Amino acid sequence: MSATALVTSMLRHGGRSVRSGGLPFFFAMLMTALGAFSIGAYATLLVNFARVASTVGESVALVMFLNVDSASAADELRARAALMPDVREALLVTPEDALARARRGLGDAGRALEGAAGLRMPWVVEVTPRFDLGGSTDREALAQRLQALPGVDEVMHPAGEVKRIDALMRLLHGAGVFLGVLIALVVIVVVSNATKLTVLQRREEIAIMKLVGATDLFVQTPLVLAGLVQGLVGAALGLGALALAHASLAGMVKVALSGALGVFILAPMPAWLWGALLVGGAILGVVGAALSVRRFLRV
Amino acid sequence: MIELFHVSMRYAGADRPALDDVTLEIRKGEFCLLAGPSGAGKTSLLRLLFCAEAATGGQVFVGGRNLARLKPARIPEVRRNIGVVFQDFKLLPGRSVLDNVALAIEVQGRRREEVRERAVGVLKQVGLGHKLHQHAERLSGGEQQRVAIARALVVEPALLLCDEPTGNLDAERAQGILELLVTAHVRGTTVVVATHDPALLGGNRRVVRLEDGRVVADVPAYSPMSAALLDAARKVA
Repeated sequence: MSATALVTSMLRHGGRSVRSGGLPFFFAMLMTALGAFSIGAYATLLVNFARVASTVGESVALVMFLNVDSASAADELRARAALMPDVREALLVTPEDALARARRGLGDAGRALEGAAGLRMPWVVEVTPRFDLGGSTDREALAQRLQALPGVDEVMHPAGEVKRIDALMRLLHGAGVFLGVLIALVVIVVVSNATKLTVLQRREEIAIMKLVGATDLFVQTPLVLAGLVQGLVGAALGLGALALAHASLAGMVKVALSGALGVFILAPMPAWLWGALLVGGAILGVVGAALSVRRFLRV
Repeated sequence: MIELFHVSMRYAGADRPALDDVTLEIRKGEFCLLAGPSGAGKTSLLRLLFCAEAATGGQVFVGGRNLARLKPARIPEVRRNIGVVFQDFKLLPGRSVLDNVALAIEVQGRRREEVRERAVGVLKQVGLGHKLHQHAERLSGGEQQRVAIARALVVEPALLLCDEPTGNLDAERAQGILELLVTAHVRGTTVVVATHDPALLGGNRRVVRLEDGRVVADVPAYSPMSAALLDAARKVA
């Protein structure tokens, strides 16, 4: 008895299961494709929304007003702020630059500041927090930590807009997880039912195989392999459709959304997510088929 | 080869047992016929022997294994050493003659070349070497039965069980099937055949007669009273 021969034989029977799968097999594959496409489309939307949100969120920096006299002390505080894990960037603004900005910000009224003897602006550090997909940066906590640094006089923290973006990101994330789980369950149920129909269709054949001495593994493996192919090919088809949709929509989106936010390029999902969806499709196919095989193969 | 001790078996919902206190021994290399009217328990007895049913009482030994204590995972192992010929052939629909026969050794994990070589060889033996690639369901009843016998013999079983192998065949074709079974027996296979075909019962072979699930007669081979005579005598009685 050779394990290789046995595996080859099971693969051949798996191929036969795929070929003889008929309409249920095709339907299960289609549902998997639809699932992969939906999750992928949602993830693409999320990635691009996150990019926009990051641009907006990161443009609203926290401002630290320092109570120090020397440039070296100010730079040390900047460095300490920059080292915080949820800080993306910390920029030092000299008192002179701060005054120049104040003049520019006041417009015509800024002329009143020109030549104002003795007017002295404090050292300022502009802190740009990280703005990730999960909206995990707690800006108030960051402001409190910055405030606690010795030599910091005050931290200005424009929270309102950013909080709303953070909340929206959390909502989108939660909805994405819910959608993913829902689609996964639907795919499992559909693949499981497709396999059940195959088992019922081939009940006699399976019974004969068992009567001539086939082990449960020999009978089950080809059906599970068919589930794997269902999941894998379904996910690949869905992702292929997504790639096509992305390619054809990217141009339109660029024209429609470029403007205030600069040139907007519709980003695809990250590479790991393409891989994860492909593997996920295959896993769901296997799980669906295995569940059905366990329940309905008692012949 | 086969030992049954006070074996009984009852199908769920049945008002009487299919087998009732059957004690029987079939030695290695024997050719044994199970005779009796429909519903006598012949098929049930065969089904017990290849683990398609479990005894509700008593002990069943096949090749030294106690089937009552056999774990389900071990059943395929037992079946691989037994060739079974079913009354309704049980051939895979939509598959070629060769595929049907090859399946029995394929499940044992044999190499593809070996599987093909052995399947072709045994199909030639049963006179179907020229129909390897025909779909099994397109063959005549006699040919389908020969495919079923080829599938049973291809594993070179120690034990061959046949359930009414000539049931639907005319006398000439039944004789051809009998010759195949005798050939297997001559090669050392223990053969157990459930039948009520007079052509089979006419030979000089051991006949175990069942009625209502009980063994009512056990006539050894080379007995002065042939099995056919025994049958006729019982009918008169």
